[in-house]
Amino acid sequence: MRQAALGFAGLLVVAGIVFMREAARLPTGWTASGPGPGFFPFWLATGFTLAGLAVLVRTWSSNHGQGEPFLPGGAWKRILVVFLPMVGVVAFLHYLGIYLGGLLYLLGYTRLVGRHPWPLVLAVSVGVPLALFLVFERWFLMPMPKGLVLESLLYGR
Amino acid sequence: MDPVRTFHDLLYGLAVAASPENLMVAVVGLLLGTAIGVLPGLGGTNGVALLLPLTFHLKPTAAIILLASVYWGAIFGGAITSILFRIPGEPWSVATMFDGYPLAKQGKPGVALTAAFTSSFIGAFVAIVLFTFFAPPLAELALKFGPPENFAVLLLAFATIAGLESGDPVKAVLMTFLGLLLATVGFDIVSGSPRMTFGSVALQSGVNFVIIAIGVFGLGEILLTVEEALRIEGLRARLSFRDVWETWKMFPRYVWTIIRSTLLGFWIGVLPGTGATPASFMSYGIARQFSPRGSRFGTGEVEGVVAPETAAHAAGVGALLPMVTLGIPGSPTAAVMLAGFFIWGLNPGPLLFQENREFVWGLIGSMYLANVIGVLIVLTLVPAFAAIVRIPFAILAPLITILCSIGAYAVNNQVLDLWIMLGSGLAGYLFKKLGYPLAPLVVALVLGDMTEQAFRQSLIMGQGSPAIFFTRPIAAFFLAAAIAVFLLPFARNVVRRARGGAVPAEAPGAAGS
Amino acid sequence: MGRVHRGSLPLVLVCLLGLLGSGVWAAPAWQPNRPVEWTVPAGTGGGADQQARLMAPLIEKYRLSPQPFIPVNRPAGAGAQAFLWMIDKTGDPHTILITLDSLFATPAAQVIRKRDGSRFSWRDLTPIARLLLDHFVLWVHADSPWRTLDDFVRAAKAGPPGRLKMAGTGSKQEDEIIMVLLEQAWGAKFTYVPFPGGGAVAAALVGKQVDFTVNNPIEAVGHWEAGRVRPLGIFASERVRVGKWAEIPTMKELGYPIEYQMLRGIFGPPQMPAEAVAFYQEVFRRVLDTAEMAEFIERGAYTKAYLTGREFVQWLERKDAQVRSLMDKAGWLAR
Repeated sequence: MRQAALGFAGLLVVAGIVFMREAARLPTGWTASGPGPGFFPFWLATGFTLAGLAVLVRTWSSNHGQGEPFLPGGAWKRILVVFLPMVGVVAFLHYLGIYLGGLLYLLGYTRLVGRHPWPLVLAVSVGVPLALFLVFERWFLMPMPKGLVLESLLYGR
Repeated sequence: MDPVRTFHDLLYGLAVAASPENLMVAVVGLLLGTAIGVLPGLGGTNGVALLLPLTFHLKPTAAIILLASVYWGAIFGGAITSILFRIPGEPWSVATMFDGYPLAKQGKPGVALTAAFTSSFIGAFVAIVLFTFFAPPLAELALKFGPPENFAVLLLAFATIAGLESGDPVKAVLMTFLGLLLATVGFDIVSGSPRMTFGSVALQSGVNFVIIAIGVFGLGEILLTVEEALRIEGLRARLSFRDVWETWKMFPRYVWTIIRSTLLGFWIGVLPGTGATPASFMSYGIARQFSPRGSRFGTGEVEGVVAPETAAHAAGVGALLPMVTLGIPGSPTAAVMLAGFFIWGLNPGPLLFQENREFVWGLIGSMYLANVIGVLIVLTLVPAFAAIVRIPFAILAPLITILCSIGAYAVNNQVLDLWIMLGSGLAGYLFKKLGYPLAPLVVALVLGDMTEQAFRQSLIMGQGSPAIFFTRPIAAFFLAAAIAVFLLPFARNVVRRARGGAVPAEAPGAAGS
Repeated sequence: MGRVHRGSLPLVLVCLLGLLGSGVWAAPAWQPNRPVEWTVPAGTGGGADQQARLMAPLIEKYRLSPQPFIPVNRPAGAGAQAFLWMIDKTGDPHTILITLDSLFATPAAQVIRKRDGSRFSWRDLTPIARLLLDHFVLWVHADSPWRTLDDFVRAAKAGPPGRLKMAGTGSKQEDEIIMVLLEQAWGAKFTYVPFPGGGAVAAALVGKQVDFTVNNPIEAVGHWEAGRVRPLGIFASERVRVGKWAEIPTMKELGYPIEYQMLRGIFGPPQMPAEAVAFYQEVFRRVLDTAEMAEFIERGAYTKAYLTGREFVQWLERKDAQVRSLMDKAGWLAR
């Protein structure tokens, strides 16, 4: 737990420095008509970095959480099982789109994690994306990323 | 304005709105709006924009009633996902989440929903009465609020919610800085150039507050639940209309909170350039300061749901006021409605009241009716909404994730926002695990942008001199109020210390803009 | 899906006739077979958005297209996000863009890189048609002592530099360009206060936060009717001869030959098929002739300026040169 807290605070400090560098590319001074566009970003990033350092020092000097595991046993796997498929759906959005991607995600999760019976799994994982498709594409006319697969199924080409 | 004449007009408006045809339009609009409000990222603005083409086939009065009903419906619906899943359906329901979600988690989703709907109704209803009788003079007063006044009001908002978290003050400060910093990302309208975008064009749309909120709260919560391996079978919640009655019995206790939040929300809503979201946070912050149970806010206090919901919906009414009286949209939704005015061949602006009596009073009449019908509809659905939490987690979790993705994409129509949502979901989970408070982050993010813009506009107007904040009486008044409120917790500490009591850890919170 | 083919036959005939009439032979007329995504390079409620949201339902109402046109806002970076989106849709006949002058100003003020690293310019897109020209009017508050432009010019020259404040939309875009033109013509110096949209700009003038604006007519007409603002001059080549707009003298008549008009046009992605271009040209030509558009054009004092083909491209080149030279003088060009 302590290592994780230290590592995370360290990460925040690094992020703060990256922000500072990005802000420094803009005029960070105080011009005749008020602060330049980089003024607030730069000093906010500086404040963020200093706060991060303060957290780092305080975590270092306390023994809080020493020896405790960061995650309870087995939690690792459960979290990755939820999170990685999410990342996958977004990563393959260009090909699968939100509807087919959603279908696969629902199918996999309800079956593999939820262990629900197949009829329910199929009803949910086909029904939900279909309903969403009708709502957004047909009814509200809000185009969502459909993905190359669905587009070619729908419109040819 | 002559109140008797107004009363006559109002009766006329109610008669217009209560025609069977218009009533039907209102019910359809409300149901649609509620559905739109439930979907995160899909707000009243989208709903109104999407329905605009349909209104071609309706009379202008029926058309505006449809759009206004969608707007009210979305306002009611926004609270639902905030309370049930910790996913803000609308930006202004983020504050509702702070106490609404803990209530739902304690098995009382019905209580939280009833409290939210009822206070929405009260806030909106009182605001509509104010609207009916005082619209033109209020609109005049609102025009006096330029950038310096807006800045002072926003600073006051910051001051009221400083110290929202009672945890580690250093971490609260850090999260505030992070929120303010993220708010600066995007296209800077003052200098007309991108900043903090690391060269990405997609980032020029900025880091959207709704997307971050969906990520850190909604997805973060799913990850936490998964980690604890809890609730795989869904929550056991009591579902009956008794919740409604029992919640109502609590309401007399909150009468001052309701009055304060309504007035505050309505006024903040009328001001162009602020809106319902700051109103909801301010109202929450003030209620927390004043309430005897203020220290328990954030753990599932009904009052913590009542305050932001009342203010947000009073603000929703207020935002329509400059549109109707001056032709100036007070919110993006109002801006889209304004486009509708042209389609229907109406001239928005100061003359609308005189030239199109049926239309304006029909709209006002429909606000009364739509709110009454709306609250009845959503209250009857409370058990049904609450039942959603009984759905097994393994079905609910992926469902929520997909809805979140659609919502995040809909904000700017770009895929990058989905990555931001996923990233902030992971970050939200880690923040929560390691004791970093999330509320200062989202509050700073939503207010930071507006505050900095108003500050810089003011200085440009003052040709670089900060004197502009003190020479304009309204701005000076709000600035003084902000400073006073900001110092209040410190003053209390000093008093306590003088009496020899223990000093509670109080976060200095959002310093500066 | 039920409505897809209804009314398409007359449309085909019209398209064919149009093609025959112009003496151009093309493959059988193209029609969209899915909803047309209409990108708006600005947020909801702005001028471009208003026009797209007005025209889209008109296209449905008059059955000008077998598929609906769906406005989608891509507001990031003063248009940059929308332009790159169009580049990504190269060759797609179901994607169009409505433009305003950010099409010229934004790529000049910031370097927008395409995926291949080269710099974006409007020449990458397929010009479809110019629809309307939007005017700019110099507005002051009705309570101000300035009854004529001369009064105003005198005040502008008299006070210390920067005393008079102007509100405008965004930064380094058309409003500020016009202000710089005025500064150069009068040897004056103003303070420019940027606001996020035309509605807020008009409100700032009505609320006396600033001294003047150059709002588009549609943004200020309501306040004018209510007697809260006063027009001093219009930046057009000649007076707008509809309704009360005809009373506003042009800047040229008043001795300052400053003209500026904003493009409201339609573009396609790079390499849009010629048949698709012809289809959209026909749709928009007919939209402009509807009664609703006529009313909108009058109310907003727009100039109906339908133009396509080579003349349109030549006009675009001139417009681009004008914007670039103005921005160059102001020192805003990005290299």
